[in-house]
Amino acid sequence: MSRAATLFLLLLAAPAAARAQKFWLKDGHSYSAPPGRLDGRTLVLPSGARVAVTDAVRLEWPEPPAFGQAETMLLHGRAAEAFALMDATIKPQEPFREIPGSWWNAGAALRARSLAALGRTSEADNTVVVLRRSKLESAATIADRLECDILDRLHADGRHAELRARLAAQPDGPRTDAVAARLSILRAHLLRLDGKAGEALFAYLRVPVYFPKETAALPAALLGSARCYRVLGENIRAKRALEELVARFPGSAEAAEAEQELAKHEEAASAAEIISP
Amino acid sequence: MPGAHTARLPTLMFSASPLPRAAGVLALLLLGTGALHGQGTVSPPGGQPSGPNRGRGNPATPATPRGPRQATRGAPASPTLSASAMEALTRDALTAFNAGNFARCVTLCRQILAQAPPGSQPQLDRVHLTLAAALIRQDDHAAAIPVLREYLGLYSYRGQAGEARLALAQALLATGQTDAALAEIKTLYETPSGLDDLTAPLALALPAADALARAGAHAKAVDLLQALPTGGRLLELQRQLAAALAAQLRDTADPVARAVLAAKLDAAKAALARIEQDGALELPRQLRLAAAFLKLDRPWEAALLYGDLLVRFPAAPDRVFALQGLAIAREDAGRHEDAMLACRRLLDEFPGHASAPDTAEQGGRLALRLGRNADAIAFYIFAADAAKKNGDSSRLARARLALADTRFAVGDWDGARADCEGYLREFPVGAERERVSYLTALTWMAAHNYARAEPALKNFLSQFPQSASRADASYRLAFCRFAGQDHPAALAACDQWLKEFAADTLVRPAVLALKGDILAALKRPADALAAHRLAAESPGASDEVLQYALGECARLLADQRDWDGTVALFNAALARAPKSPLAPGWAASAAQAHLRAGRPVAAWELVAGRVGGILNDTAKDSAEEMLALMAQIQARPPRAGGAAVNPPEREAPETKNDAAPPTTAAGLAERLLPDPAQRTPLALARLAYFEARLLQAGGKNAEADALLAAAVRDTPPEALSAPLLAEAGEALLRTGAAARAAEFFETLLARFPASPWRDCAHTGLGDLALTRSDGAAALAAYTDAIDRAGAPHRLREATVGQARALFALGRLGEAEKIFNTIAATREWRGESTALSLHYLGAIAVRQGDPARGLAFFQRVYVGQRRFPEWVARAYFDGGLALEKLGQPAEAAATYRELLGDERLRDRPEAAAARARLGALPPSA
Repeated sequence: MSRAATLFLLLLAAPAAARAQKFWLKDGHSYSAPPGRLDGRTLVLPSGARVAVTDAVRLEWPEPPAFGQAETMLLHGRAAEAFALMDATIKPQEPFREIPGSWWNAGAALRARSLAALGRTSEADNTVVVLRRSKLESAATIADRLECDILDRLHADGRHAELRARLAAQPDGPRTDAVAARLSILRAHLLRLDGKAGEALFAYLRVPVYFPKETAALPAALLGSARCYRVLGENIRAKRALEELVARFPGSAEAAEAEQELAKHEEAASAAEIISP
Repeated sequence: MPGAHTARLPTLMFSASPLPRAAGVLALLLLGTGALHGQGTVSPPGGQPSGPNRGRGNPATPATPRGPRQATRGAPASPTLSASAMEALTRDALTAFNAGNFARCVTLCRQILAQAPPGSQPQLDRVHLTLAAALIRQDDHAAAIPVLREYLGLYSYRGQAGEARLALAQALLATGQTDAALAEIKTLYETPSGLDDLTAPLALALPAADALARAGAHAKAVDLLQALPTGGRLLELQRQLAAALAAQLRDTADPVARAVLAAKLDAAKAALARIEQDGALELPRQLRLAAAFLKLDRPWEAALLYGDLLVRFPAAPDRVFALQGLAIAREDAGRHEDAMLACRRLLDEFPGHASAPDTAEQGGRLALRLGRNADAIAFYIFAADAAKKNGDSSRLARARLALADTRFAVGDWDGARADCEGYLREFPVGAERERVSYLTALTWMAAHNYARAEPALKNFLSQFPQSASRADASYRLAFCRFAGQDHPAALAACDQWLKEFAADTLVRPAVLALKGDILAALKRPADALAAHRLAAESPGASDEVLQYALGECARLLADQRDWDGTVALFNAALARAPKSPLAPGWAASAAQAHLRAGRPVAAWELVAGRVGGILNDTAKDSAEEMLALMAQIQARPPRAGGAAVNPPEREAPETKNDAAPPTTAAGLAERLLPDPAQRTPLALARLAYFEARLLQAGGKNAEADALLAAAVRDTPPEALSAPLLAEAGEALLRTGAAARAAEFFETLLARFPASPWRDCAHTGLGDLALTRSDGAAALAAYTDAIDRAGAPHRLREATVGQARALFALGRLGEAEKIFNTIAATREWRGESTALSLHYLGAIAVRQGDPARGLAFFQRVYVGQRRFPEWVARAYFDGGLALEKLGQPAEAAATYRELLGDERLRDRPEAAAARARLGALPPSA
């Protein structure tokens, strides 16, 4: 058995019952079968039936467990391990990448995020280009998200000049709300770094005003807006934003920071009360 | 069996209105209870839509509306209809609908639904819709709601589901079920609805949002408006819808289905065209959203939306509402300068709009708050003119009063008086007559025209004998007598006042101070001192009176060389009001008295004991004042003697610190801030300021600048106080760090818009503009320093700058006038005099009068020799003037004089003089 075939079987390994793979073929037939074996560009099902990859028009496969593992590795700063895992995971999926339902695009994005975390930004950028060339509609969304992930990484690594240049080069055309919200937050971060608290505040507020359903972006927007309010001397509004963050997104990392800032706010308020008489 | 047209019926029923499709079902079903009644027509099965059929009114609506299912539940078992009977009844129901007989239509529809044979449900959708439409035509929204809900439950997959949901939302709104209506509107956009005109829910949602706003439910309004698609998204959705319908039509062979799809596609395309043409479709939604944010006390969100609207729709007439909202939002967010700009833009772009007068008043109020009196006057003039034009007398009265007050504040006494007189003429019985009359008298006082002030005050007192300003007016009358040098009468008036208004603690300190002045004028210093002391000790004394009275006491004590008395005077003031903003000045005065008594250590300790606690507070400008005094004390050589009343004694070791006072920033840090955690960038910069002032006192100005500039080079400007931003900014400018200096000046103006130090920033920015030969910008900056900031620190520099900027702009006459004033001002004698004389010479030469110019140059190089820069320039320009006068020998002698002065040999003028000498004929 070739190495690719082995990997494919590993990828789609048990628990088999829950991980049955479903294929829809050009001729209208569909197969729901336990993981099969890949022989070149032909899929050999356990029954012995052979299906050419090019005949598949849709897939319904379970998410590979390696995705979750790689996410956890990235979260704990183990980018090199995440990269190795994802690289091994998506290679066997390559033949299916243009078939709706394929996990290749999502896996490639995860691998690219690992690369970005390792500082290999240009390699991560290559994945964006590959994804943008895909015929699958979902690939464009994944590419957008990946591009934002790469920009987030630049910000986290303090590569602000690079981030500034890339944000300036972003096209003006229509973006999904999720992308627009994330870009707005990144712009806000840079404006805040530049000491332009008022402009930064407006950029943060774009998220709750124009993209209120983007709950993934809202915690960062609320925290950033609270910090800008504080700089602008709007302490009551700062407190209100922090309280909203804690109440609406209690489990988020930003909420934990907000709680600390609220505690500081309380301390400062108490000190002011002591001093003022 | 229903005919092949059954699928088409509901669509036609809801769409055959002559109204534009934008209103669509919404208008036909929900708005059409009055004028629209009878306009909608429906086709009977197998027929074509009939023409307008204006049926008469409806019979009574059932008191308790019941949906079709409910109608069947309580009824006795009914016979089941045959297919043909059902079709006949359906035809009758539609005929009744078209005839406007909605009650009959309702009865027939209910009968069909109750008696429909089993299995006929798929064909009953049109009956539900007809029933709902008829009920709505009868204004029976409550009854229509369950019918529409049942329809949506049974036929959510049908093409008319979206229109049914839209009708349901409107019916819910009509019956006050706002939350349920909002849920339906959201569903319309969140799930594929079958609507072919996606603007229809928008047309429904906006009035709904208005209703919510009227009911004060602003959070719900935000929720609803945010659920609606944006203009761009709507366009995208409508495009997708049209494309999907076109594709469906291509793939459909059945002629009836094709006809239905074609109708839907036409409607979708028409809606698309409308959206594409209406560039400002987003405007109404966003305006409402911003207004709702404003009501929720979220002005920043509102300002964001309004600002974006103005960018996106720069020519839309409705942008006036965005401008109005922006001005309010910015004011609520505390961005007064930006708010004022929005007011001004509205007045510029929409001077005739109904909101303009309100905006003018808002602008005036903002301008006053910003200290921009000239702008305030312009706004109030606009408001007054608009009020006159609209016959709005209450606004006119307000504007007149505001104008009078503002003109008074800027010292335009004549203008203020004219506004007061205008008010009294236009509103002879106006509510503010008393205040305006008094203000009129005050304008004479302020103009020092006591001859006119006195009768005006008397007239006021006779007209308003019960006025609350009576005590103040009486005091001012006494002042008028003092100004007229009728001291006995003035003294009597003061004594009378003190008896008559004994309970008035506010004016009493001023009267006592006036009495002190009168007694001093009568050569009764002891009595004068007592009166001033009483004024200073009066609990109601304003800072102004308190400072004046203390100053007079100190002056009278100094006349007697009573330094201990002076120390005691200021110590008492410090004890009475230790937190007064004047306290640092009192500490400084007490320290000065200690110094004069030969007690520098006591002087030092007095100030040092107070400054440590405020070094980390950016708002405490007095820190720099005290540090400057400490530097002055340190720089002062020990002096013995000088005290007549308190002869100098060897200074007792009264200090807590035995070590000699420090002379460096580091030493002072050890003394004042023993805890390193207290040594913030601000505190360290302030300590460097102390050391720089010490260097300055020793004449080491360049070193002082270098030290201060180095101390703040890496400090964020926002961490510094106003005096530091001013003085460090100037040091940076002098040491060549122009960009950093500009940053400091701009930060000062942005962070401390009311600081008395902002004149330094304006002047510094003027100097920078002059350096880059931008005379206009320089003139504006120097003028701001004087007119807007009052130039408490840099009046001389700003005035010199104004004159230089005018010279640079070629406005020689105006420049000459100011240079003459500078040269004649005794207090400014020094380098400004030399500079002004030189410029006056240059102006004369430019005006074609080299002889007059030469006279000025000679005054510089003869009389101003302390200033080598100007001496060198005067020599050289004097030589040139002599050349122009045809006196080469005298010119050569002047150049030689320049070259003969050792101090000037390295100046560029020396090289230039040498070149001129070479060019002159050898005989010279």
